[in-house]
Amino acid sequence: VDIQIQALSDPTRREIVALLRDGPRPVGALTERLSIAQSGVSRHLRILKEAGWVESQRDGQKRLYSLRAEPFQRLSAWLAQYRRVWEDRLDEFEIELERRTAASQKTRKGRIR
Amino acid sequence: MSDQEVIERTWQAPIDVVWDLWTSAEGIASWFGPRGFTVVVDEIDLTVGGAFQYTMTSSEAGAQPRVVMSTITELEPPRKLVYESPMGGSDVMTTSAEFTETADGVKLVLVISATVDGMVKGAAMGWESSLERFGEQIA
Repeated sequence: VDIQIQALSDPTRREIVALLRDGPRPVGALTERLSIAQSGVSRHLRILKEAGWVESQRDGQKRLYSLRAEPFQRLSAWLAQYRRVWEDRLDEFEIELERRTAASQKTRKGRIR
Repeated sequence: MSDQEVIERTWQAPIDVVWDLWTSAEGIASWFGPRGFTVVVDEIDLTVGGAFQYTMTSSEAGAQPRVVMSTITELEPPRKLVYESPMGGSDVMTTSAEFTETADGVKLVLVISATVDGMVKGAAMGWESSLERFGEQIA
């Protein structure tokens, strides 16, 4: 478990994860975007793979690296749940807003009279 | 890394009434609590850098009150309020509300975004518990 937690404590590895969010990439394409040697990128990828964040598959001569979907799907599910909390809040907001708007219109009419 | 949710609503109401309900302590208390919770606004200092603090208590017996502290980062009355809530570690949740007057009424664009580096790290320890903790802190 410690290895898994440590895997994302490194800013370069977090950057690799961010780059892979755009889709599978070979190590060369990642190296172009990062200011470190390809051997360094490979080492970071190996650590991410061992930690369960990244998987790889052969594509002809190349090896393509991609994010494992599972952890990120759970994150999206959580955010969707938080969205529902806000939808409920806004429903309550609307009820109270209607009450206040009606009250403020009454006051305004009262003043005109 | 960050992720975000966007919600839009439009209401036929004067913008000053909307703004007051969104930003005043007694206004917030009337709508902010998720069902089954009571919310008391301890402080809302409507300035950039000002504090927004509330205490939330579940109606369940024996529930401990939870204090949530945020900091106002952008303020343009009566059109914009942005605040940041710490979520433990270096992660923050940002809640941005922008109001514009349209032909249909006052339109709210609410953007909730969260940085998730710490959450992603916490994931290795078990997503469910880390997400639950995260939810408890900012719900």
